[in-house]
Amino acid sequence: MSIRKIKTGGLFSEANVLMGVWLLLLCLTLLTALIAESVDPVLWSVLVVILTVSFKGQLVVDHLMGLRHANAVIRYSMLSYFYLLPLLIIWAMVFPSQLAWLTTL
Amino acid sequence: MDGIAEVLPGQSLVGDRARLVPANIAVWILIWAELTEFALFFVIYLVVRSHNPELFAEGPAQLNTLAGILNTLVLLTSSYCVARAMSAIRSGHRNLCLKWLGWTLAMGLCYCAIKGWEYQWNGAEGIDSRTNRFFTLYYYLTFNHLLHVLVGMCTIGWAMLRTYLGAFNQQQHEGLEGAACYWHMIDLAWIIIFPLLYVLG
Repeated sequence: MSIRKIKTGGLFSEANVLMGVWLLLLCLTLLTALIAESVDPVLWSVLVVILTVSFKGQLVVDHLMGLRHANAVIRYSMLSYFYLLPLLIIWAMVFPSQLAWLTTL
Repeated sequence: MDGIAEVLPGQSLVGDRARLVPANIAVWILIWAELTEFALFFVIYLVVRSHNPELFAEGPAQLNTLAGILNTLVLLTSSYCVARAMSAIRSGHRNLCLKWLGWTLAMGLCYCAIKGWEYQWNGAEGIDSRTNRFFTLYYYLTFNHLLHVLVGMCTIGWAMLRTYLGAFNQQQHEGLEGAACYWHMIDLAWIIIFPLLYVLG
């Protein structure tokens, strides 16, 4: 069985992309930590933190897990976790009394 | 053959991967089940928080934020290591793959050590799982996650042994891929746990 070889070196080699994604994830974590240490949770900080969570989840799913070009059902089911849960968290953080009313027996 | 990936004749890398399920479907059912379990705990956390807003507003300030940040950095690094291990086995570098899997395990150990320090620190501050509802949920979520890390470490350790014994190579590495996906799932759960417990409260 003959095998064709493709070059994967260079600036956008898999190793460099993975390292770039990893460094970006570390920076986003430190940004979240900075917010945690410097401001009380207000609407804008909640939105920034949750959007960061959503973005970090997508980076891990697409690049570290390598699902970017994988089966669409698998990929979107994983990505949906980081679309639906952040929306739920934002709603629960911004309208806690509404959630308390809905869950009072 | 450093920096070279092998592709069969006529194979489109993107097209083929689009049809493929990484690892196997059983692994994905397990991952979905685990993520659903964590999602249920997140919902319970949000509901209890909505009924105890003052308690949950004070909670994060009493936690060891440094331990939370360090554990996040360590888990993200472990995910990077396992991704590099997969990249290495796909390009036929078994020893390099073993090296990255070793780093993944080391990161897992770091996570456990930091978590142990955090629990000890909590104890010294007079905090335990019965302090209040915030800490009950904090302990339930973080201890449950710690158990998943331990299971993940056993899985990575097993995959490492099988890689060493030659069970995985450039063409056949489904089991290793399954272990890697499980490890990433643990990281994904923590990506939500960290801000929920340590930042937002």
